[in-house]
Amino acid sequence: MQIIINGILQGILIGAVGVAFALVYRTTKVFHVALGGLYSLSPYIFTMLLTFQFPIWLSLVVSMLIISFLGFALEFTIHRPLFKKDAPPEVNLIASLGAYIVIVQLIEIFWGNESQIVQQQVSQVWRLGNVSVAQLQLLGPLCVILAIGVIHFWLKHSNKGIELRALSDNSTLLALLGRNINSLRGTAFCISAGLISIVSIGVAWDLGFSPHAGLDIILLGMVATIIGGKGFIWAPMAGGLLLGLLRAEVVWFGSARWEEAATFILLVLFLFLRPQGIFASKTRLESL
Amino acid sequence: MVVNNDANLLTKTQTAKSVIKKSGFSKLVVENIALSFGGKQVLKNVGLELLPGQVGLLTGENGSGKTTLLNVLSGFLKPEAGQAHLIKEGKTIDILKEESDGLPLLGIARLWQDIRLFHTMTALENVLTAAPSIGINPFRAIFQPIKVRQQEKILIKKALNWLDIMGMKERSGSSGDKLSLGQAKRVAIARLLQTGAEVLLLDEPLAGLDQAASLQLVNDLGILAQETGKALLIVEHNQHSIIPIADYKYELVNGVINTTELRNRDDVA
Amino acid sequence: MNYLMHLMVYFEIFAIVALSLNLMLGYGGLLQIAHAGYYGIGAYSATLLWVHFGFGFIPGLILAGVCAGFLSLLVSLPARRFKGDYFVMVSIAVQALIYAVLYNWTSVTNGPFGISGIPKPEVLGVEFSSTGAVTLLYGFIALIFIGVISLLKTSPFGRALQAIRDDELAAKSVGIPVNKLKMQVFAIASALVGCAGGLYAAYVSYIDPTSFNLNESILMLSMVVIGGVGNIRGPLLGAFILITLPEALRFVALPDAIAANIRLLIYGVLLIILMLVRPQGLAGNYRYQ
Repeated sequence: MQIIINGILQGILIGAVGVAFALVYRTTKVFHVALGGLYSLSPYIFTMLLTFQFPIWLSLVVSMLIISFLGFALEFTIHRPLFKKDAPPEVNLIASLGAYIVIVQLIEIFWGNESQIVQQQVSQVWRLGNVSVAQLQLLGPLCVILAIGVIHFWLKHSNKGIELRALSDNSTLLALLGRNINSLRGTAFCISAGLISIVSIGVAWDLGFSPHAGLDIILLGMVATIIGGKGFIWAPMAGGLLLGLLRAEVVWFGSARWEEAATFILLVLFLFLRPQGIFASKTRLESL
Repeated sequence: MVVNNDANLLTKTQTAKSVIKKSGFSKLVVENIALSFGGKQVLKNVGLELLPGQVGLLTGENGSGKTTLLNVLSGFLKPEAGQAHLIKEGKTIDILKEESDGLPLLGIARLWQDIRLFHTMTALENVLTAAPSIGINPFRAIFQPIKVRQQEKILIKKALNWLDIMGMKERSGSSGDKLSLGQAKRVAIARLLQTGAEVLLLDEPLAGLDQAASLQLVNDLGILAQETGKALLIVEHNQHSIIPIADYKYELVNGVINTTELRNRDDVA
Repeated sequence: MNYLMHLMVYFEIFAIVALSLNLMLGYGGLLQIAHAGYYGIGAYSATLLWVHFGFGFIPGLILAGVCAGFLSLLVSLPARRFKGDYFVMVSIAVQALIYAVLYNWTSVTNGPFGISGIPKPEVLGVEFSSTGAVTLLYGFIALIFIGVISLLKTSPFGRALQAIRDDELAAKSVGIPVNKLKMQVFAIASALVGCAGGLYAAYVSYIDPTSFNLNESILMLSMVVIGGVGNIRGPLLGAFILITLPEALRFVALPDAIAANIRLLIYGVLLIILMLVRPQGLAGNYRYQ
């Protein structure tokens, strides 16, 4: 039971990273590795704001806004010019990799490369039978679920959200209809970055943070997106939960050292046996 | 635009004959091909036949499935039903079972509507890519470089010959993206010929050409079919330009082919 | 002087690495993110063959290449699909798996502690123990590989790869067996980088998994992308830049603490700028379409 709870909590976070990755990947076909850099950066900005005596909620909102803006900036300065030149996905990926390296190195130059924690604080532990959950452990997933709920609502009900879903299906058609693809792409990068900042700060609050955490987590998010299949919310979340449970089981029954291996074996199995992911059946296409 | 006079081209073709064997295949048979996209039945029951040296004109409205049929015959699409066979030297090749990259060497090659020359290569190199060569095996390329080079010499000769037949020998050194549309088409046809395929599927070879260039190309294609025994299936919207050289007119209407035999070719035009 | 030769050895090893990766990226159009993994497979298999099975230097090296090449076949056989994103994801997964195996299979690889005491290169009874001697030997080996690669490049095989890179559909339509060729170029590149891994192991005489992780793969990719893809001088330039840049930065007298960061920062900026203005790399001639 404890394993399952841990797996689900981890799975929600991985799934949320998957949602952030999918928002960009499914709409613009950009393999957004730099998102890992933004993930790493978020807690640094958050703690910096805290040291300026900002209240916690304001620090969270301001760092989310800053990271969202950076996400938009990445699209505006790198991927938009490449999109205009009709560059292939490989070129976008390499440029994104470059952006990731730049962000991480800047973090190290300004803040050093040691792991840090948000603040000293003993977490209250809740017990229910033989299951125990630290309060802090819940905080991240709760914020994340809230954020994803907002994004879900936005995708379903706002014009931009609906257009964004259409963008993932057929970008040329949308351009022909006279919609502004550039602003949509910017929005996707922006929201994706905002979401990643919440996930990242939630995790950092519980476990601390370091400059290099971003790449690993973004790979997990990518795996969740791929095994999830088509869609922005349910598919990556399902993929994330599957991964979270698997990883928790592996840690419990095997050893933590094989955690990464298990993740990528799962990915390889999916790529070979079901490359379209969990959610690919036609009935699921419309249901986002 | 390169325009040769007929006499010149004929002599070239005749000198070429010494090198080129007459085509070895005996028949292309296509029967009952059916294919639909997203519920829309594009091809219902399509059949046709071509013999060596014959020219088939495949025509029809936009979206009637001409290119789709070409994609099926060149292995890029698999139909839902039907058969297509190439009967060659006593063997029967099941076209629908083969991969698209295997068919050219088995005897069927296609020209793309948008030509698709390799833009970083010269015209000659473009033609050479189509040659079945032992040096395409990297181990032979490393360990038998002399043998590969010897074969290469023969292949270059053959390629230049095809370029010559298409009137493009002078441009053999020009890079793919520096050729005019008409020249690029001729190089692309030479590239098809280099594969050794006996059946050539040409997707709108005249599109974008002016009157003179069209006439010249049609004329050259007619001679090509006669002299080398290649069978040509030409998709063309503007049927009147092809009819003078065509043996059959296949018109695709609502997924079915109406065949018209054009026996006395010169009178029909 | 000795230090210069030390750099030279590194340049020779990484020249092979960059050239082999360029075979995949520049000729095969395959974005490989697991190159350091295959490099590591080569390094470890050569080491095991030399240390545990008493193989000679050259046979061990060749077998290391065979192992890495064989692994690439295992990866490409069930997939048989070499399309952009799909291949990238498979290669990221392969990189993670190779690293996990090197790190966790302690009974064979000694895990994070690595393997030390790898014998120095020895050819025909001559031991190459000084750095200068190794420079000569590795330079000779690198030249052989460059020769092989240029032979491949000018052969019908190279021309077919160029055709695939220009236009895959057109290549299929003239009878070029696209998947087979990609598999072959993948195997050759992996075998070459496997040999380079063996050379590295023999030179440094100690290996551990950290030299073969995802970051190393990204570094190798930067090398080729910065130098340029599609020819031989590009990757050589890339290897040269990435090996000499740290030395050049010494003259700027950066504080030690951030010197490494500045270097990586420069790589990152270079990657972005190059993708924006010159995606074929500084000295490359491959134009992405």
